[in-house]
Amino acid sequence: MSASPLLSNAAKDEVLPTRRHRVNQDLISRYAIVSGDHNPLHTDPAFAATTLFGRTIAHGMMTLAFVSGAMSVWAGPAWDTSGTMDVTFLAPVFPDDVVSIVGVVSASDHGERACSIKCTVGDRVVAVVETRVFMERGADHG
Amino acid sequence: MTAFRRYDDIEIGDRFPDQPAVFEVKADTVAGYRDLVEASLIEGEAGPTDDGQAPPTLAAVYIRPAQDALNGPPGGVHAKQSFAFHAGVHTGDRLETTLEVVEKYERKGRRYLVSATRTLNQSGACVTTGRITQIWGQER
Repeated sequence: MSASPLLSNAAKDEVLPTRRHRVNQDLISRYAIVSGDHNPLHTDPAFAATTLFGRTIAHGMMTLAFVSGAMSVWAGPAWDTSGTMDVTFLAPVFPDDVVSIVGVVSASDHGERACSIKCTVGDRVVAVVETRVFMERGADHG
Repeated sequence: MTAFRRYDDIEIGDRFPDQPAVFEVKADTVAGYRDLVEASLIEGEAGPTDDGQAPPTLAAVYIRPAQDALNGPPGGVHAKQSFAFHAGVHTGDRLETTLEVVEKYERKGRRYLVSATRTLNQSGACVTTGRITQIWGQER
């Protein structure tokens, strides 16, 4: 399978198609089960009420999963074997939030593409992510 | 009551767990993870269907046993994360992850712990490296 032409042909400053995910408590609880991350901050409203957040929040890694899903679509299989991502979590995602994944190509140099991605809920930036992928390394070396 | 590890008892260079944490990549785990992403998608193109290869950020799941070995108090918060994906991970793989504490610092009254992870597959190939910055939970 060849790499996705979307990032293969992307130029610097090109805006990538926005993706949106709806988060609810059921999704958060399912993520806790799948991931094995049972931090009560995510799943126990009584405990979460005692924290600075006041209520449960989504796992930051779930937002990262949304970003990786976007990169898989934008970059194709090269993402699985040559991608890097560097995320800073800036604000929590709460149940019933809609997370938008907005990406811009920040560098396009030979086979390498870099994307700057903002994850937002309304006007609130919840995470910023810098990604890189080497498009010519789409074959799976695993 | 579970005894959690104290922040002050952790030193830079400490490795968790004593032996690499093993994670067997099962089809239902991959499917469940992939479904969470796709089921919540309300705008945008769906991702690739399951061909036996795991989404790369399944790394968040298979490094979890190594993170759990830190045994910090509940309520910790993930501040930063980086991953580099070096090779595909597939259903049936047997992965081993080591975690090493590489930095500790306090800022604005919060205690931070930075760890580096490295995951190898059953062939000894490095599939993922990572760096986790977490805010330590309250030791109450």
